[in-house]
Amino acid sequence: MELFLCYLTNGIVNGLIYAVVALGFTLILGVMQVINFSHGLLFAFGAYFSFSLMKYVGFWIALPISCFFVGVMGILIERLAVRRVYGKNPLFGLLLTFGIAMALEEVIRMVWGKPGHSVTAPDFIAGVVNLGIMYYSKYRLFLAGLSALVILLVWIFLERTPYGAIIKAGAHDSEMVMALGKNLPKMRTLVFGLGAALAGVAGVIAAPIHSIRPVMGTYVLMPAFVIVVLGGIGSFWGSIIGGLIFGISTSLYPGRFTDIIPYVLMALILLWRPRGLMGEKSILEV
Amino acid sequence: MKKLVTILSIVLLSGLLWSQSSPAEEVIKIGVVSPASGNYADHGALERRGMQMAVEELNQAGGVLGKNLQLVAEDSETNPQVAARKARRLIEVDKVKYLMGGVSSSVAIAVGEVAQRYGVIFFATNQNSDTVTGKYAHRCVFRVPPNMAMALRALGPYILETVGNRWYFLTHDYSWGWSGTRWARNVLKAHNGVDVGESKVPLGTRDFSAFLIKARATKPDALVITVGGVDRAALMEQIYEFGIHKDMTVVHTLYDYEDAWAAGPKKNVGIHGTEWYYDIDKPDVREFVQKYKKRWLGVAIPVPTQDTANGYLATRELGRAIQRAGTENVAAVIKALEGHVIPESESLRHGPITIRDWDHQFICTYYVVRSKKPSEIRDRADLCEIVKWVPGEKTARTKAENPVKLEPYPE
Repeated sequence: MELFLCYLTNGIVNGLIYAVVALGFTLILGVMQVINFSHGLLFAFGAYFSFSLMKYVGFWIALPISCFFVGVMGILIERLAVRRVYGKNPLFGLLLTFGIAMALEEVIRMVWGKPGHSVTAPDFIAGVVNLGIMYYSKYRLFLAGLSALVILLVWIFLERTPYGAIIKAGAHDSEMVMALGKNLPKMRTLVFGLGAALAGVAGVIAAPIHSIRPVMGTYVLMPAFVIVVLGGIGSFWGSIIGGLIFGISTSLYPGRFTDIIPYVLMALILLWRPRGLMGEKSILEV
Repeated sequence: MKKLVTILSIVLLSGLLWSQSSPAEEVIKIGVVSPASGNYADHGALERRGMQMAVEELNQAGGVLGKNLQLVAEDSETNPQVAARKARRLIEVDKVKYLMGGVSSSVAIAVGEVAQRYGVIFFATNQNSDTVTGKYAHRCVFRVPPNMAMALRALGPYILETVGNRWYFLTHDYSWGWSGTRWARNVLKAHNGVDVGESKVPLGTRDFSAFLIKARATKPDALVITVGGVDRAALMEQIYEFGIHKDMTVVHTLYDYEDAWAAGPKKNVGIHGTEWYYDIDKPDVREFVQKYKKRWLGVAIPVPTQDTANGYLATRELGRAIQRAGTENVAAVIKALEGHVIPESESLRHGPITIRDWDHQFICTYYVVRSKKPSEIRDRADLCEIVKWVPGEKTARTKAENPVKLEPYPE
């Protein structure tokens, strides 16, 4: 029982980090109907930027600057490339961003080299803490808190600000929103930037857990995709719940079949609810 | 669009014709199937550097049978199916008679089978599962690094003496990982130790938190790890993050320099077994390290690793065996290799290396190293201190333990 509680805690902590990655992914997918395969690479860039910056400015300054850079990368990707495939067959967007992802991975290899690098957690949260049931990594608890904060901020942005209202309306009926005089292209750029920045945050905070390397982006993309499909395309709470399910299900039973569990769960949930737990109609159905 | 397709096809076609019309040079080709991507990409890069060094050295000294050696490399992607396909391609298209490469025992087994079927030689340069020179041993396959029996019989007793006898196992869930934990268990059982549990870790695992929580709950003396590559680098990060090394001794049964390099000096903790270390105090090793530094100036990992040394040895010994045989004929080269002894003066480690004739295992010394504390290191590359070495003759499986029967010599 005690061990179960340990696993559960660990699962929730990991799930919150997954949720932040998935949130950016689902935001772009829900609003722009683009499956952004470069999302994982944006995550990797967040990690690499913070790796380079942390040596000079420390964690707290590296965090926002890295996110900002990744956000700018997202905006550039949208302005230069992804913008051209809006409204087309979703395969175009998928292939385009897939190509971008491969190119970006090579960029990482060229700039930072092929082997991995280690990022050390900031000193004030290094080490372990006694939770009563177990000794747990302080850094992971900090991560969970930070992830929860980011999730809350995104929720406030989407639900409590006029921009959020426009974004949601634009996802629902873009023509009507444009007819009302809102600058939809600009808004889409903003959303893409925001989605990218979310990937960047996740990359920065996850960097000290895994050693960072060029392929890390590819590894995180699959969980993000599973979480979004499981939770429901375009749904805010769907990706949070999906993230938690992913985190918990991979933590409860550490062993050789751990990796398969989320996929089996996904299959079961899709059989029962083809649109995912909280999903609405999306491009994956047409 | 149509125009583009036409232009592209013309370019491609002309490229194809060009490559076929070029005259056959007088070279001996060695096909290399080595990972440039996947879990062991870093290891692949390091072993190819060693092979390249040996080829350049042999060619400078006049080549082999008057011909230059040439490496033709393909990416195994750390994937057995891909590796087998690439090996077939090298044999059929590039007409190589000799293959080498590796990292990942599953890959070695797949490529070894292809090599045996086509009757070409395959040097497994960096794989350690027992099966490569055991259940899947072949007449055409030679394995350069030690297997896990040799590793654990050298390392295990030292851990029992200096650390304790309650062991928890983390096993990479494929051929090599199973070998490591099996031999660790054998040693533990022989000394009446306590096996407190095991977690099988799938290849590609990035988050080990649940495994580490489980291991800590069993209160072992030693966490005995047979997990490699990118996965191990992540594991080392998380062992440090969870402070596991404060409660138990971290033991890597086969410590690979590339993974430790990625994790860095601070997170490099414990006592481990390893095939080779660049600080081995011998003239030939010092010379080899200097050569590496000169040849690969400015590369990411500034010292040669066990993979580099193995790649180098394999290539050099293959070249010399062809020279000894006086022919490129595969059967003759195999015979020149079988039973050959590499003297200590150029074995790149303590003691000579014997290429055993009945299972084609290179019998060589295995090392026990201790991770240095960050306060002890000279520079970023200085990660370990050698505390013990055990000659392969004492640890390798006997004929009774490993009853292999190799196929007849190829035509």
